[in-house]
Amino acid sequence: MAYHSPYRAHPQGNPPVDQSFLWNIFQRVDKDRSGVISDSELQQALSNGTWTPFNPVTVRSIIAMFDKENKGGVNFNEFAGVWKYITDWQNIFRNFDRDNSGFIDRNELKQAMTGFGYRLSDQFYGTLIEKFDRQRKGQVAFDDFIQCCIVLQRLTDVFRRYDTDQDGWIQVSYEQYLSMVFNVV
Amino acid sequence: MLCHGWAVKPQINITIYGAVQLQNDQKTVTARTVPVSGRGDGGGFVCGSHKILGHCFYIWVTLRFLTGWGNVPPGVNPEAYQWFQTVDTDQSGFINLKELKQALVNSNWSSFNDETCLMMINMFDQTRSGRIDLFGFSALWNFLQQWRAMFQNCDRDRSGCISGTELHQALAQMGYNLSPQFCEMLVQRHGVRGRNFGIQLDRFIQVCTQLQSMTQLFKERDTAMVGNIRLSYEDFLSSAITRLM
Repeated sequence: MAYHSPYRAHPQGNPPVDQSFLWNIFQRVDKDRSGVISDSELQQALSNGTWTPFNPVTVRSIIAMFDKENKGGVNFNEFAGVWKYITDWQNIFRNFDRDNSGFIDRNELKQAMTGFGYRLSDQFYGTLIEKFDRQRKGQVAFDDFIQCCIVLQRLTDVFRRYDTDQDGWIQVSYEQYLSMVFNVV
Repeated sequence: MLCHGWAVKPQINITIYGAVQLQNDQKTVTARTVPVSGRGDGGGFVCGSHKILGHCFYIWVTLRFLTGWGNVPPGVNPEAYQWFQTVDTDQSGFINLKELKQALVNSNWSSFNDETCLMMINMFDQTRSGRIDLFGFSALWNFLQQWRAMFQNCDRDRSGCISGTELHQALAQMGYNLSPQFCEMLVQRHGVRGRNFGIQLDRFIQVCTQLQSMTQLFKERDTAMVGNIRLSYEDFLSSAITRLM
């Protein structure tokens, strides 16, 4: 099965971060002192290592993941999750970005995805690079890499819900197909 | 037009002018008044001995705007040409995501969301550089005009946003056979809470464009026209990824 055990939970393995260290960061990111870090505050604080603004869509996806009350931002408790999520992705990304260029190419992307359990064709990796390469370099930057993984994970989840016999194929009606895709993107 | 559509976001010192006029008579605010006055913040580069020069530049821009003076390349909508100069704030000859986002507002004065701006840039980026040149912008201009007209048409109660019922009626008119529940789901997902709950113009454009693209894909696959398609995992992934972003 192509998608038997693709990458699921957040990357594991980092020791818990010191609270006072986190509080320090939280206060610096929370520029308007509202107690909640908004999309734009987080975007300004994040760097993708290439001197271009962090992908706003990625920021929105991450905030939405941790923002439990739908308040359009994260409080200190939720920020701990955001911090861990991003640093864990950073470690993964660094493993594949061997030359430290801030980008990973098609082969590296394939290695990463294969490591997460995805089994996809070379042609498909071409599509992924084409779609998630915002800077048009033929490679994927850190922020776009996270976004790519989030989208793949959500699409896989929704596909699996419909593929009840788990044979890697689904049969869907027009409206089912539309709601599958609209719920993800 | 500001009430039921999109507009170039006015700069600080003319916001009041635009807003006052908007309240007095919403229909008299034309597309031209805002950007012409928007150049009023030319003060940004007016400093010291360059003051007179800057002033001349401001008058020149205003004149050019009022008279339509300038060399409009063939195939470019003259109105789009004028807007392009205003939206291209760094004068690079290209519109990037930030410039486009700053330029477009919904009827509740919120900026267009990033996803819709990114989608439109991808659609009209003929140079494959992540930015739009003048020709792409001209096509985008026409695209926006059409959707704005459609949006106004769908917004039957003139609330400035599209409700589930309005969306259902509108999509049926466009030829989509979708259930009221599905339309309601779209509004719940993309709607904005305010005085009236509904979809703003940016989400309306995003939803309709995606719907168009997904429907086309479905029709291509449903060759026997039975209303069902069979998709493999990878096929599903690539269809969603290539069509939607």
